[in-house]
Amino acid sequence: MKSGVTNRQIVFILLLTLTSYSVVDISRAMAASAGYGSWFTLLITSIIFSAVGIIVVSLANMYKGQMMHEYSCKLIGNFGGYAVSIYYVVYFSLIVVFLGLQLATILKADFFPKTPKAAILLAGIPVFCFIAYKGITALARLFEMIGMFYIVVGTTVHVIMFTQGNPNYILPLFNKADIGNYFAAIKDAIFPFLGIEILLIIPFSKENGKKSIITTALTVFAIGLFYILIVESCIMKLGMNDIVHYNSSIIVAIRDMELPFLDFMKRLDVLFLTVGFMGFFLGITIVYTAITEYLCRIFKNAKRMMIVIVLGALSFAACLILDTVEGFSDFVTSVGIYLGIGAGALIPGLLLIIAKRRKDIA
Amino acid sequence: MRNTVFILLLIMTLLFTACWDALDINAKDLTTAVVVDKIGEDYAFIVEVANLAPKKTNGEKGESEDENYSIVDSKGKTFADARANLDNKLDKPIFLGTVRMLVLTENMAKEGVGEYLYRLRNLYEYRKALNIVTTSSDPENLLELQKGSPVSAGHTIEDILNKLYKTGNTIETSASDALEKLSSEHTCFLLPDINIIGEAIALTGYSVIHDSYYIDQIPITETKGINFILNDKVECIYVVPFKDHRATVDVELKKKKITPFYKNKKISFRTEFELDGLVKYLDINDGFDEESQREVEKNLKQMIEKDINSAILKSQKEIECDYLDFDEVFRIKFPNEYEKMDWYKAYLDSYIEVNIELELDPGGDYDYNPEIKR
Repeated sequence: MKSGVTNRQIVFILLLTLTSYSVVDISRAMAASAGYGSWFTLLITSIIFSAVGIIVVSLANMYKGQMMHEYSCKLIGNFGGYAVSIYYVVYFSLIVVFLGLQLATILKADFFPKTPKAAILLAGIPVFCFIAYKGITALARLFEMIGMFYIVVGTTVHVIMFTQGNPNYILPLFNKADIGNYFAAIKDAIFPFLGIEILLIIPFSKENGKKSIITTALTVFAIGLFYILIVESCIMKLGMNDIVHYNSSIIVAIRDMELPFLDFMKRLDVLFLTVGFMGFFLGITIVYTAITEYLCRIFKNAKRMMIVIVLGALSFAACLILDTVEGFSDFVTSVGIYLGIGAGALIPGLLLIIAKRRKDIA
Repeated sequence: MRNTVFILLLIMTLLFTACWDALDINAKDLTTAVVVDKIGEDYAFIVEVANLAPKKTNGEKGESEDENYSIVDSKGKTFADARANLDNKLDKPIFLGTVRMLVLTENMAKEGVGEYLYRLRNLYEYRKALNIVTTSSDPENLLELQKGSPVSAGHTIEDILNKLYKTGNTIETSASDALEKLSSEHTCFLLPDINIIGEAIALTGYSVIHDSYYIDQIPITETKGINFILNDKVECIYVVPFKDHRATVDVELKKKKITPFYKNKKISFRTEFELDGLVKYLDINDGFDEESQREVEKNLKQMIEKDINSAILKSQKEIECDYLDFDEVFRIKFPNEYEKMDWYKAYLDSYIEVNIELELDPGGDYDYNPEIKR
């Protein structure tokens, strides 16, 4: 199975993977932690994660045509390589169950109150698994197509929201006395930037070249700017004091908008139901694909189709069980940050150092 | 073939996920206005529901007439009881996504607007962009006025407010705005007051909500100054006396600036209003000389200044509540000082200076002093 992606596709993969779920509640989270300085916190975090992106892509670029499992086995031995792959499987499994449950919860709470979460998951998981079965190259093409809509619609909606909102709600933009809070809030801004590690499942090719490093860094920085647009426009619409009450703040803010000049589409909920959820679906799908890729390397003799079916069944069961566990979401958003830092920065960073040293010695 | 199956699966997931319980629009009671009232110890809902296929009914006079809207009411000890009783009366599930106006009666507003708005916040169908008004008229009569009309009472009130808001002659308060105010430390805001005047629905002033409760009423005649302070764009008419005559002048707010100061623990504001005035007509045919123009300009300036000063004075000395949003201006400039103070008290002692700059155009294209050579 051919499994390369272009730099352009990397841009859309990063955009949709990082923002798919995060956009739903990032405004609430940032208003609650950083307040008026949310933009500053997000800007700093995006610079930090641009550096993380550089580490990840530099490592992937050193071993062209290979995925992380293969070169980690070479760098730290088979045992170490398998241990790293299992770490990523556990981490991505936690994320996939979390995202699946969040999708079902948001759809149920905001759009289909009478539909059981299990029905939503049952309709969604087979599709996610089917796309995961097709592999990263097919998925990357899908990202490219939907990503274009996502950017255009997302930016347009939030620019309009910006013009309709109350600018006083985001002022003062900066307060020297709160600078400590702005930096402390970086902890809450980490979760929206997790997902860069997904690039480790992509075997980079010659065509990607060094340009992919700059592309990744600039994309992560641009995602930071996109988050700033979303957060500031949602706060302008709902207000700094009220937004903290809405877990799905972006949906509430979009529902608060009306376009009186567009007779055929005065309300914009439909846009989030289509384009927003498309991004969300793809975000979940790539995590399924990542788990599939690692499992295919760990269980070399198992058929990809079998792995995908078992993965789908297990994730469905896990969603149903963990939905009944109180505090699971909080657990993922708190512990997930540390696991994510390990997966996105520490492990690739260590592997990069080892790879560089070996190269120097060689 | 494979791609077709793939695309079909994707589309099915994107578009049809969990739509099995969706109802056709005709199978729902589309609500256009909701009135919340307090009668004695009971809460009451009066809703205006659109009849998609107008029913032929016998009116009170025994005549046959079309009804485009039905008015349904219910009562209960709590909002939940009142809603349950309402559901018992409606033939289809209620749909609140079409509500154009939320009307709170004066009795209800006196009991506090908070609980209902918190309820609204969690009713997923309600739009947060929904406008809120108060009324002291009988709510059923208010809705009944539009029963046979092609335009609902909800839409009528919304249209009145939208039209006036475009020219800055009213304020608008959405559920979202009210919820933000209720969530902030300093809660004081205005809601437009709508009543029956003669046989029509009309804006009659503003209700003052302080800490979630209705505390006072500002009649429409006293709202000009408030509009200048709260709105960015205002167009209104002044009838200005000069000598023994009157000039009718169109006034437009061009620019507004409110600057806060905080020195020696004293709060003050400097407000600057830049206005354009256009003389529309006089009560005389001609003879509007420069001296008269200067007098009109001077008098008009005084009138506007008086309106704005009275609005400020009323809020500080009479109603004792900052519904003019001076708190926002002060908070933005002095966030740390604002956090430490009790704005409810601090506002009452603050000094607010009003400066008006007016440019008067004596008639635009019309010449009041034609030079006749015959």
